[in-house]
Order: sequence, then C-alpha cells, then structure tokens
Amino acid sequence: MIARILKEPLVHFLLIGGLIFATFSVQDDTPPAPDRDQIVITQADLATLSAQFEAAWKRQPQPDELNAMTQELIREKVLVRAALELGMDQNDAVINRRLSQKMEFFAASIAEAIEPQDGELEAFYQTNATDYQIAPQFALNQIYLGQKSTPETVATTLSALKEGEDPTELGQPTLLPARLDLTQSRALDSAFGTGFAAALSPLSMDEWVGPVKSGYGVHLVQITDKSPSTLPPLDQVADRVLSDWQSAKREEVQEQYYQTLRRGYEVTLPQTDGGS
Amino acid sequence: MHRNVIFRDNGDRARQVVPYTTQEPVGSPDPLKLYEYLENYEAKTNGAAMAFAHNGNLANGIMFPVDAQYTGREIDEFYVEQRAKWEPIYEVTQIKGDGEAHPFLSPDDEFADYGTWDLGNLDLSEAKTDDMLAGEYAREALKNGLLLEERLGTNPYQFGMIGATDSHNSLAAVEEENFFGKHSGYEPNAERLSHPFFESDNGTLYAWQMVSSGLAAVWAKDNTRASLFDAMDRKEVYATTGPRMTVRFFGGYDFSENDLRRRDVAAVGYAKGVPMGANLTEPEEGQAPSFLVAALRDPIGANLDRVQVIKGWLDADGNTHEKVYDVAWSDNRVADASGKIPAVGSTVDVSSATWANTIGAPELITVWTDPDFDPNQRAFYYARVLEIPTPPWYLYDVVKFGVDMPEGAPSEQQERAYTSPIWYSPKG
Repeated sequence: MIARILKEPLVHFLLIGGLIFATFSVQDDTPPAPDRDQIVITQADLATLSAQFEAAWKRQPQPDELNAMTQELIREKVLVRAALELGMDQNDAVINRRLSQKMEFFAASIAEAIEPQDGELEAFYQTNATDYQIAPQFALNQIYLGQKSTPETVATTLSALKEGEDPTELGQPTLLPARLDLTQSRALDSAFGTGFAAALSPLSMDEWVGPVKSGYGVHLVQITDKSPSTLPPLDQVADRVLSDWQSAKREEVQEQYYQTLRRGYEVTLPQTDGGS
Repeated sequence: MHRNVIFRDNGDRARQVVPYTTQEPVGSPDPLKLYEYLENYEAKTNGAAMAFAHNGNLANGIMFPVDAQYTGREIDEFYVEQRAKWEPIYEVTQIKGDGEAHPFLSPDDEFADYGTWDLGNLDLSEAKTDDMLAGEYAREALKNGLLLEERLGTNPYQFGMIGATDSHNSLAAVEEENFFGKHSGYEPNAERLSHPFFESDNGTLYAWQMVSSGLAAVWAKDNTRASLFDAMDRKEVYATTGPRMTVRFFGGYDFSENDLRRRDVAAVGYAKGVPMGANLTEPEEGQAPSFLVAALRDPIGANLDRVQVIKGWLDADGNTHEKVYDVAWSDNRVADASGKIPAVGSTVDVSSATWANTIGAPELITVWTDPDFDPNQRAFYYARVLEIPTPPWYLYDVVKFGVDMPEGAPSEQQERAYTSPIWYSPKG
C-alpha cells in the first residue's frame, strides 16, 4: 500500500512542491539590491551559442560570427528585460500559451519517468484490444467480366469453371492481378476500390462465386485463403502498447496536475441574468 | 528557378552536409554549382543524390536553354554532361501549372492547353513573351535535347517525368474533390476562388487557376527509400495530374497483338523490351519500334478517354518535330477522314459537380508500331493517358459554398498521366 501511494503522481507533485517551498523559505529572501544595469554573459552562454551554430552548420563559428551572435543575445536580453519592466508580458496570448505549455511539458516530463507496473501493460492491452487487431486478410483468384455483365455471362463463366476450364482464359484480360496472396483489406480496397474487401467477407472458401462488384465492374472470385481479424500476442505489439500506455499516462498526469493547481484558485465568472 | 534535391541515404549521411541554397556567397543560383555540391556530397559520404527542377513554365525561358547557360556562358559539353548526370527527372505538373506542352509550341495538339500558367514569371514581375516558351515546356525540352545531343554528344534533357503537389501543407490532396490548396492560405473556404494568387501590372493570376495536380508514380522493386531512388534514377517513373492511374509503357521490336491477351503485361514488357525511361536497343534491318502501352484507371476515379503516344524527332537538317498519335481509345469510336478520334463526350453535371463512368473505359491496352520510323533519326516516345471529362476542383467549391463560377473558368477538364519517354538513337 505504501509503495502504491509512493508511485502516485499526485504524491510526487506534493513532494516536489513542498521541496520547492522549503528551499525558498530557508533562503535569504531579502531582495538583492536592484542592479538593473547589469547584463552578464557567461562563458556557458558562449558555449551554448557555439554549440547551436555547430549543430546547424557542422563547424565552429568564426570569431566574427560568434561576436555577431553574442550581440544578438545581448540585444534579446536588453529587450526582454525592458519589456518585462513595461509589463509587456501581461495579457499576451502568445506568452500565455507558451507559459501554459511549459507547465504541461513539466507535467509530461514527470509522467515520462513513470514505468508501468507488472501486469499494467497487459491490462492496458486487453482493455484497448480493438486498437491492436489485425484486419482480416484474403487470398484470392479473380476473373474480370467487364464494367457490366449479365446473369447469363456470370452463369456460363461459372459453369465453364466447374467443367475445369483454365480461369486465366476466361473473362476479359485486365491489368488487375488475377491472383493475390493473403492481402489486408485496406490494400484490397485500394487496388479494387472501396468496399471490395467487405464484399469478400461472406464468401465461402475455395469455390468460384459471383458476381462480386468492384470499382471497375463485375468479377468472379475464388477465395483461396483467409485469415480473420486477429489480436496479435502482446509481445508482438509491445512497443506500440507501451507508447500508447505512456501517452495515456501523460494525459492522466497532466489532468491530475491541472486539477491540483485548479483547487488553489477560486474562479469567478461574470453574472448571467439571462437578460442580455 | 527551383530545384529539389533527393538523397538516397538516411540522416546519418545526409546530416553530414548543410543544405545548399541559392544565397551568395556560400550558395549560388547557377545549377553547375549545385551539381558541384552534389558531387561533393557523394565523395564525402559515399552516398548518392539527385536534383530535379520544377515550374519551368514560370522560368521565363531559362529552364531548358539551348544556347546560353544560366551564367550566360555558351552551353558546352561539360554543361550537358553535368545536367544529364544530376537531373534524371523533371517535375512536369504541379499546382502552379502544368508544364508538359503549350498550345503555342504544339498547335496541332488539341490537349496541349492543360493548366497553363503563362502570364509571366513566378511573381509576375516580368511578363511572358512567346519566344520564352521554348525554354520552358517539357516536350520542347525533350526535342531540343535531341538537338544538343547531336551537337555535343550528350542529351542534357533526357529526363523522366514526375508530378508533385508543391503544396506547403504536407498534404497529397490534389484530387479534384479533396483539393486543399497550395498552402494553408488556400484551404477550402468560400473566398478562395476569387483571391488573387499573384497580381502585378502584368496581370492577375487568380487562386481558382491553381491546378489540383500532381503525383509521382515510381515503378520500384521494393517500397524502400533506396529502391525508389534507384527507379527515379533510371527514370522508370510517370506523372499524373492527381488520379492514381496505373500506366505501363514498354518499347521493343517484338511486341504483338497476342501480348494484349496476357494479364502479366509487365512480364511481357520486360522480356521483350525496355521500360519507360530507357533507350531502345538497336533495330535490325527494316524493323520499326513497337510499344506496349497499358493504362488502368484510378480504382475510385474516372474512366479513360484515350491513350496517346507522343513522338518527337530530329530530322537530317537539324530541325525538331513532334506528332501526337491516338493509339487506344474507348467506346469503339471511329477516326474521321483526317484520322482524328472524335471527343469522348461528357457526363459532367455542372449544377452538382458530378460525373459518371457511363462513357470511357476502365482500362486501355494496345501495341502500337511507329508508322513513320526512320532509323537515321534521333527520337523519343512517351505516352499520355487522358481521363474522360470531370469537374475541376473549383466547381466543387462553387457547389459546396454556393459561390459564383469564376469568370472564364472552364466547367470541365481532362486529367491525365505522362510517362517518361523511351529514346531511340541511331548507331554511330
């Protein structure tokens, strides 16, 4: 039970929050003497600039390039500081979005550190089994009878097949494949038009049947193999399950975090009198 | 002028170089400098890369030069060799206009005027003049390539043809009923048709004139980056203006009517001939090349009107020529006295932006032999496949948003595919 509680994200927040609070309370909180004229560029700042440049250009910056980037950094710091003093960060949609995003990222980074417990992935995989199902597959032979066909043509072709005639000599020659190995429904639909795979579902195995409609017209079809929709074992889809579990966890933690923060505020909405 | 660069390799190699730009002094707008960069990439990483151009139609004459390079220097052996080496394909159709043929250059081709953008350069800062067109359109470039090959020994414009969207929204939504526009500013809305795409003293190009095009089709062995690259490198590719048509095109000397009964067109094609993008082999005395061409329409698209073979050649006096042959068509139409196949008709209903597959054919296949073959003349052949008329994308907008049809906008169009050519060179 204790172990369970220690794993709760909410507990992590309270602990982290407490820690931050404690750190600040033991610090000397008399404000430092305001020194607004100071902008300090450290060696670490320069190293960061060089690294950024190298990532883009695959080489170290020349001294004049580093100098230009440093001037740009100073410019940014001056403008940001002046803007803060003028209160320009207030009521700005872009800044508000960025700050709330940073809070969401903060919650997400905590979620990423959480590992699934024994059996937790298995349970997640069972609950969301439909996400991992493999669509039905069919293997088939087909004869194309043209854009339109008559019941007579269908009947004579079927009886010719019964008498053992070579299927590749029947119907119209076509660029469509005469024979397909086990193929997923989606691939069948993209080759023959939407709805073709669905039309195959009720057909029985091994015998020639028709007419079956496709985007191109009328076919006779012989299903030679099929594999129903199946749920692959967990170890075959473990990577996907883990990644889905992680994103579900992330959303859960973000929501808990928000609710925790939300409880610290009293929100007042405008009065509605129904008249305006 | 724009060029796309494609790497055969993954990030481990491609990340070793910085993308090339046209910006001086590090970059340059001179294509020869880009080729140098590609050469360096291959030497440094042992990888492979290619470049291809698009929007020759907006280049105001300088995409496919015959006399002077971009820098003004005379076109020499080095230029034609380099261009042939690094630019195996060309993007022949896209949203900013179709660049296969122009009615001024191909007055006898009744289907040459598709998605034509010929007011000027990209931003309309310079107006177009007729003398610029020859340096802009793919068919003319293919013809001039024969001329330059005769003169300099290498054909700089022996390119395969692909289509692309050039959309800036990562969407391949260039079918008429799903057109998502050139960029986020032209996503479907009631105002987009009447918005000026480019405007200057030289004229206005309206957003309705965007062409909902195109796609690149690649005949590759595997669906891997390397296999796709290799197929593009050997030009075994074709372009469509949006529909997912399947098109086969083989050239050889032994194709026969019997091959049409076969269901495995590719097996016959590779066994008896060469595929799109390749060179014909040597004919024996008295032989003329024949072409096995087969087209299957988009499984959820419009039927096919016809298949044409377009031939270009260079005569003994050094003049280039072209001719469009109808080789397969639907509905058992009969050629008129002049040998022309009558129009397929139309099922387009303007009030509802719909059409029906009650005309045309789901697939067309034929073997066509060049009736005018001269073994002493350089030539190329490519196939053009036309769909039956369908509503253009803006007609769907007109119906959906209840707005007026833009002034001067045609209410139907024929989408198409262009294969890469097959070339013939006389011996010696």
